[in-house]
Amino acid sequence: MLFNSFEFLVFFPLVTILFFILPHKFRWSLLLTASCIFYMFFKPVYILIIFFTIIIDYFAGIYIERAATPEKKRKLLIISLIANIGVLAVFKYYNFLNSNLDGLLSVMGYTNPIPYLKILLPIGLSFHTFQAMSYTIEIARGNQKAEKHFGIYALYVMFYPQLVAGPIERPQNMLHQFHEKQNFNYKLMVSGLRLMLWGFFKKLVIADRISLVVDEIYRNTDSYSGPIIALGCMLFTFQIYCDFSGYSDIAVGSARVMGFKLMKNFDRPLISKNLTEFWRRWHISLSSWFSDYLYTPFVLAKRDWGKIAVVVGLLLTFSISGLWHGAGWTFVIYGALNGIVLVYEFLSKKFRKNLSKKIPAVIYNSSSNLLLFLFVSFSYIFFRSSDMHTAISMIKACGHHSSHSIMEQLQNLGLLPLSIIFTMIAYMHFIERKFESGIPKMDLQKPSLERTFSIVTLTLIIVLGIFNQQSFIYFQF
Amino acid sequence: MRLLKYILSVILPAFALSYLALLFVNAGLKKQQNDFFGTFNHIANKSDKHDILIFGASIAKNNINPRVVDSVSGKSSFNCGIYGFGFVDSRILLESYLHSSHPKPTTVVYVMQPDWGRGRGHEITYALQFYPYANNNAVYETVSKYDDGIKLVKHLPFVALSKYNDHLKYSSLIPFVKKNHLRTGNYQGYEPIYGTVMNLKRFENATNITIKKDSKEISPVQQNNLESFCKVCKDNNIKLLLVFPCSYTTKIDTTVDRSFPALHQIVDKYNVQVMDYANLEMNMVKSNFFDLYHLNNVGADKFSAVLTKDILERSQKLEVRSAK
Repeated sequence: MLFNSFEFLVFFPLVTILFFILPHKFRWSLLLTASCIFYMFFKPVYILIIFFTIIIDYFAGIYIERAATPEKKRKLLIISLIANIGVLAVFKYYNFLNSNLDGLLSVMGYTNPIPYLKILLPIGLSFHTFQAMSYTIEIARGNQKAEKHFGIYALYVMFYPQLVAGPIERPQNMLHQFHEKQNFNYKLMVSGLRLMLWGFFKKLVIADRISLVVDEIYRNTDSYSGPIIALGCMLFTFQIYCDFSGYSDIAVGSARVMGFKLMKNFDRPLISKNLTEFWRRWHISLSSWFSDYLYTPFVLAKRDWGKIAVVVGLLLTFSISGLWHGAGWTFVIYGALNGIVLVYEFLSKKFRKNLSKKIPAVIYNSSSNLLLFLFVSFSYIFFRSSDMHTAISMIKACGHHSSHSIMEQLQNLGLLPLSIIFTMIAYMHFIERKFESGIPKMDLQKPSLERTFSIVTLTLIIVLGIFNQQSFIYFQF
Repeated sequence: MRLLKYILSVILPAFALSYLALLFVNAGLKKQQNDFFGTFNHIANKSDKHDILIFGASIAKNNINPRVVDSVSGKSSFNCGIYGFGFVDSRILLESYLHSSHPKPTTVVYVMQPDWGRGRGHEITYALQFYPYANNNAVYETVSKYDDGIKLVKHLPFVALSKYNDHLKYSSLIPFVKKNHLRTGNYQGYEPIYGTVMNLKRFENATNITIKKDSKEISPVQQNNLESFCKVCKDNNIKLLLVFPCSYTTKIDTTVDRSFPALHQIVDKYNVQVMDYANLEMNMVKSNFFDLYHLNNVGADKFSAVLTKDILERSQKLEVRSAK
């Protein structure tokens, strides 16, 4: 079920009302049933995959906890991880690996006998698999006790607000919340609704509106000149931010309405001054997942390598992170590009610090921010393109000339829609900067201002929102 | 209770503001003189008398110039062609025209698409464009049969704007901006295209436009749509001419029958006349065409003159026949 669908408009209040009506002991079953229904709206049969990982990890968790020796714990953890990664490998990476094998064999003059799988990628597979993996890893590390209640554990993996696109939660943050009784809290509910409203604004008014322009530019690259292509790439950065952070806001908000606290997934990443800061603010739950379970353990294990451990760790982590997003070389390159720039930032830390002292702060900060934005927009060309050929064509197209003037090309895209997009981006920037403590807490600052914000934002959604139930970009991962 | 009060205190002002925005945008739409809104504003709000109305998609809008039709025939004509429109959309326009304060036209020309029999398989092309006119009964009655969105727009006007997004391309939606003027050469709904792309390779390589045999079958949906258009004309005693327009060709082939055998039944039933312009000499002259199917302003003027003469000849013959 999409958040931006009519079904969710009925589903959400119904589940919330039932949640508060039911006694605490029945609430987990309500939420689990609701989560199953939510997921089955996409493709019912894929719920079996989630059940498979739930069963494996539930028992793995119990046995890991009971294991007498660290060696045994490790073995059990590896079995659980192989099961989870195996699911990912089959459903997400099998055809990608097979096509690469295809290419390799054809170069050598052989034909590939392995058939392709004709399956659709289950929605949000990477998200719930990673969430499930964090559970067994934390138990093996001794940071979390195994959950004995099967239903509660299943709910931890399937909790509908964050089931298909995160935030990728940790068991320490979530499991205890399902055991505790959540009482009706007016302030929490209003702040949750407000955050949802903000998420809908970012998705329906900005992301989906930008997608009309970006899709047109990507479809008809030949018709546009370099500056317009570059504009399309930059707009995509805003699109993906609003699409994904919008989703996260709706997820966090809808959980908050019922009294659950999900982790913050975005912290205004586009104001970052360097890529290191950007990744601390962008998709925080995934960045911290990779940091906790891959990068930090790797660097610690190889600390005798010195700086090389960090360099290798960054390149490895970000290449895998790229591949996490999608099974394609474009995603690997997207990740590797980020890794390379992070390595540069790591190695040039001192130089940049000295430089910042010589240049006025305003100039240094704004040029750093601009450079970062340009790099992020560039790297998203690989993210947005369906294959390497398209990505390279897009990059080449940045040098295109067109027989039509820039103004004519802008007119073709629609001057008014473009003006609306830029105005709405400015509004978003203003609101997110004004309320740095967060949209949900804004009523603590000024209640009347909060209400004005809600009215204005809802009006903008009604007037300028695009209601064609466009899916969220990150659902595909 | 407190929560409900809060929700209402946000929702109600937002709905009121949205409604104001809708009024604002609708005021802008009514100032449009070009494109769909320009045509519809003329049809629904003006009371000029037009003897000849021209309907169809772009090949009507770009190919027939009412200025030429008027000067050749001495009558008044209006081009109601809209990009992408089919039989149902055109029927809505015609019904709206008949419901407004215009006197009835004597002749309706419908310009057929080359592949009209197959069509696009759906009944209404751009229901969305009619949303701003949801209060027009002729529009509402027909559009609501095919599209539920217009019901929402009519009964919950404050949410209507969310359905208008496509129209925001037109800057003239903002009423305080100077109302948009007709573009050079536009006249009574006609929109000329200048120049040609016939020197492009893909057009140069095109030899002859023939309709494949399998495309001569009429889909039941399209047959039904055409019949409903014919019925409106018959019920209102309006003469209907179905015109197969020019298309670029390298040789004249009189054996090509573009009228589709199945069309004859409809023609007989509703007393409709079919006019086929596949074999005009001007079809072999590239400089008359913008692309394979669209005439440029030069070609449109030539074709309009030929068409008008034929219309006049046919009406004279009919008059003679009825006098006898």
